[in-house]
Amino acid sequence: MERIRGELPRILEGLTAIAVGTRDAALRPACVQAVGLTAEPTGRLTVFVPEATGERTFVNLAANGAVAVVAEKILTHRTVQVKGRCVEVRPAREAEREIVERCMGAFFDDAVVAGAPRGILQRKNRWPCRAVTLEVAEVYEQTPGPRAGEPFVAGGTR
Amino acid sequence: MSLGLEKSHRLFQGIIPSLLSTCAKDGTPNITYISQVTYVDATHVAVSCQFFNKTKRNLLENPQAMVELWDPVTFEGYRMELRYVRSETAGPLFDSMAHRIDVIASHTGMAGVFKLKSADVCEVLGFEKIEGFLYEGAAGAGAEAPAPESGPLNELRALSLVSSRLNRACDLDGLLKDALAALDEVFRFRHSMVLLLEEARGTLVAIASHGYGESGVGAEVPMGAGLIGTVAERRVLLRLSGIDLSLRYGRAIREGVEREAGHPALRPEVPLPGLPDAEAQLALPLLVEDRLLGVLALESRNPLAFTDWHEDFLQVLANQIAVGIDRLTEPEDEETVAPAAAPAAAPVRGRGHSFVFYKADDCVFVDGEYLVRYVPGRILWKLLTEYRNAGRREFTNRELRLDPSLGLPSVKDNLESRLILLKKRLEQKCPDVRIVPVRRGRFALEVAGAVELSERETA
Repeated sequence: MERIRGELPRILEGLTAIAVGTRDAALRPACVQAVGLTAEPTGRLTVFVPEATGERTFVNLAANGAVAVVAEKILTHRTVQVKGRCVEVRPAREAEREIVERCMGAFFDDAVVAGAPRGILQRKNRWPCRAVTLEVAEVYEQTPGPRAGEPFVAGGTR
Repeated sequence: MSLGLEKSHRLFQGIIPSLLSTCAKDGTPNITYISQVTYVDATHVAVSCQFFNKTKRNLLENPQAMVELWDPVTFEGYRMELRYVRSETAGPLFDSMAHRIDVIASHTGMAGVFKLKSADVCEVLGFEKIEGFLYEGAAGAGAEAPAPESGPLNELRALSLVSSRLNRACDLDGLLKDALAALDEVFRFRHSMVLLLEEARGTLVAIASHGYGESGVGAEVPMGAGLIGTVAERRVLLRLSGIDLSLRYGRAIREGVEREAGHPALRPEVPLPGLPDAEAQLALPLLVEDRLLGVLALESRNPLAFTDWHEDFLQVLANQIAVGIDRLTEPEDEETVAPAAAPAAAPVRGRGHSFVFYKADDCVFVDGEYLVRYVPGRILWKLLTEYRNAGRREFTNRELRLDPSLGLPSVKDNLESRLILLKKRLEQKCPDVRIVPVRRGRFALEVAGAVELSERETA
């Protein structure tokens, strides 16, 4: 697992459709679109969730910390899911805005190819954000197909 | 109180994949992108299950879920709180979802490899627009699609217009041409085609097309292949939207299957007939009683071109077209004796043409270029041979039906559609030779210039 955690930046590179899954005390799931991520070789992952849409997510994370993040490239459906514990939720810093804009720019490029009008996509609310940092415990292959749901193999070709 | 789901059908045709979040009994959340969320009724939706995965296991042990969808027009976000109710593995809902997946599997060469395991039906407990999903003031600005001009009066007018055109048609060619033109005029469906079934070969042959220029007529689709072949095989209407994204989904699975050791041999991808960049397709079976005559296929570059309303309404029109085809392909009463050499219109002077008939595959070439094959090829060869040997210019459908050398089946021989195909191929490849209707069941062969005929065993 340690080796996989070290490979997180490579595994998640280019995956720009990002979402965060949480749950409340009654195990009711919640999800929210995230607008950027940055992965550390230490096994920590930070995802950026818009303030405007993330309220339920923030409440759940404060209550129990259980979190899953899915990241996909929508043009190829290459998808990875990570699970872990939230270690910090804080307002995103102005210096991190570039990460968000870069990630959303790449997502918009893919969505336009898929048929979405860029003019409308640009209106997606993406700032201000909160930075949600998690300690990754599990990494799963989630590209549609026979291996979807299997743990990621260290040193894989992806 | 209504959730408003019944007015939100387009959410289920999203361009951006939808999100599904579940939670295991031990409290571990799971989140995934999903290929299909299907409207069931005002309080239920269904999600597709192709692989028995963590999401399914979670739903079985904790039936709560949340889905997030993007409106494909305004790009507003919507959330649904769900409670898993049951999995269906048969029945109309399962079939409808399975057909769409089968079409994608077929196009990506994976028929039978990747298929629907179950339609997982969920009750919708809550449905809401996500506030703040777009920047304030931006929502929907300039993004709303023009409201379709629908309603009982417009529907009836459209039906009346198309219906009267179909009734006026006195031959199959005219019927199909008018029907497709009317679909363009009434609904602005710019690209459409009719394919008729050739039962003996298990193939659908495009016999009329609209909006493709000269291409399209003569194109063949095997039964069960792609959208059109699946519609013919299952005899159900099918609609695909966001085709590009669906094909990418299918290809992603294909790559995964190919990476597996000992994977089954996959078939090559089936190219989509028609527009290379179609984003939406709708195909309807042409049925009379329990007989499949063919398929009416429409496509558009607009991923949201076809709505639920179109499905119902076009099925009525498809039925009318099918009845018209059936009426105009019934063997007609006519004189039993073939006429002698009868002068048709005075031939116009044209350049000479060299026709070659390849006996091994009933294939006709003109001036070194492929023209037509199978039964239409044999028919052309008979007409040209009698024209050259006896100077005949007029022929009857009946004499063709009675000629055993043509190999027409004794019932439902599709002779009229084969003549249309032949006529159109000649118009495209050799306009100096024309087939011209004289009256129902009788036509003339008009030839401008000399023709040279030769027969060979093989190419």
